[in-house]
Amino acid sequence: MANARLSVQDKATRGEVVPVRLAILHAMETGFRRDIDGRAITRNVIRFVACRYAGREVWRADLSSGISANPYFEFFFRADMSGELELTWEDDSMEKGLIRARIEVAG
Amino acid sequence: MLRVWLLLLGAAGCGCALAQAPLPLKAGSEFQPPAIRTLQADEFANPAMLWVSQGEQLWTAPRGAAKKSCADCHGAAEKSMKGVATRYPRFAPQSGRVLNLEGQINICSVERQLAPPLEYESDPLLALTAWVAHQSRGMPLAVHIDDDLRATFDAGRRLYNQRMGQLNLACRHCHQLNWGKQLLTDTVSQGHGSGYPAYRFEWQKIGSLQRRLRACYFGVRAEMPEYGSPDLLALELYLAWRANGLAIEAPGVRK
Amino acid sequence: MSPSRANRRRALGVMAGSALAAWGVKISRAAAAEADTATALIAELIGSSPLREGREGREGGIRLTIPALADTGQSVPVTIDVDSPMTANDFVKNIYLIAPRNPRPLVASVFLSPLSGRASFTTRMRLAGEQQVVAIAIRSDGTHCIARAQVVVAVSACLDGT
Repeated sequence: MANARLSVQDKATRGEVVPVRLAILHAMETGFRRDIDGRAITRNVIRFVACRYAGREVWRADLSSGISANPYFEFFFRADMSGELELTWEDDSMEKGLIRARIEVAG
Repeated sequence: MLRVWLLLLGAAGCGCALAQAPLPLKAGSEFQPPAIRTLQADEFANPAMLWVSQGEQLWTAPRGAAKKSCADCHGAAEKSMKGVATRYPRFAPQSGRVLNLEGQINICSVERQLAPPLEYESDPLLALTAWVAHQSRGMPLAVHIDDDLRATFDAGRRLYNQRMGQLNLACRHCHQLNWGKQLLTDTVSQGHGSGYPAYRFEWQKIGSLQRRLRACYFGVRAEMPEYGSPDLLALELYLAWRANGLAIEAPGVRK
Repeated sequence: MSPSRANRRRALGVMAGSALAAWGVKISRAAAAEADTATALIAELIGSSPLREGREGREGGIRLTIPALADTGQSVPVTIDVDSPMTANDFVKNIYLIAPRNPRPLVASVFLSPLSGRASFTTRMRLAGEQQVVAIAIRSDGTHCIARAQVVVAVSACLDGT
């Protein structure tokens, strides 16, 4: 089941700087909270998010528990060829996430 | 003439005034800071939309012994669910009881999909409620109190006006008599539920109106009613009636 | 007042005063420790790279956009923009977001290349109380830029036990 949303235009001209918006459904559990019985809730934070475009990494962020729950990001990439945008991430429990979009680049 | 005056005085005195809705009617988002209002309006960045997306997927996912999806009976939610949330809570003659959206979804889950009911505040129930409510975004609440709803409505109104908890406050003390005033950096709202389910930063996730009501009970140091309890349902009905005319904002974003 | 009572009062006052002073020292020591960790972190990230054009903030080419009063410590919108042509010869390699008073001060490290197109990063961060948030950018020419912003964090009026 999709636990992320990706917003990126599907067409661009060569050389255009394209914005990307990404929202991921994830508690970003800090490890500092305690449950009703006083036991610490295990930390589980998305450690990194990476964006590959037409096979090349164009953006990457290493994260800590200081990023809000249900993390949200805006960043850019330069469109130079038609191809696939692939966003991946991994958290402390080794769960991986992936969301894709295709962009057609003219000119 | 004297009798009329006495009646009016009596009505004013007992607090059950004829005009129960505050005027002018203001949506919950109007009491939120501008940044949060903007976030609510942003269909992509609104964090609650993550659950709306999940609800969209669940809508077409077969479930239960009947292996049926919501779409199998209801078709495209954009069409069949449009306006539905404006009429809830309602009385369901088939089950003989008052249902909120969550209750209705669970009737379908148990009786149509032949699956177990979804738990309050579970991601699937939150997602489906958010997805359904979202189809009525921008449409005015229109809950009509007919004979079947009268008893529940009266119970809700009584609860609304009843002092409770260590702080000995009724809902009306904040939301009817003191809305618009400041509590630290929070502005007291009119207490409408039209923005729910909502993403609350306090919760770091989306939550139902019942969760928000429970939070209010906790706020005045009263014992919180259980999820799905008659008290919370009665309050939901009363609040929906009180907010009649206000546009549904779900999924909302709140501090 | 009898002399013994006055003496007792003075003794109590001295004890209370020294207890308060000790507590005050403890608080300021903790604050100093926090500041030390953050300073060390910032120093480590910057390394030996010189400050771009000798200027900080907007004049140095970096802008940190964050509200002066955050509605909640759970989610504070923040944007870091760095002026750069993002060409192979002149681009921003890293952007760091630091919250010195958070339990984990290094909030995010962003890695960029010329393919990134623009050195701009927006997210929502958690803030453990009022503090001066810091943004650092490291450029391919070996310089760094730094921007700081003070943020006050609002607290919810009512407790929520759900």
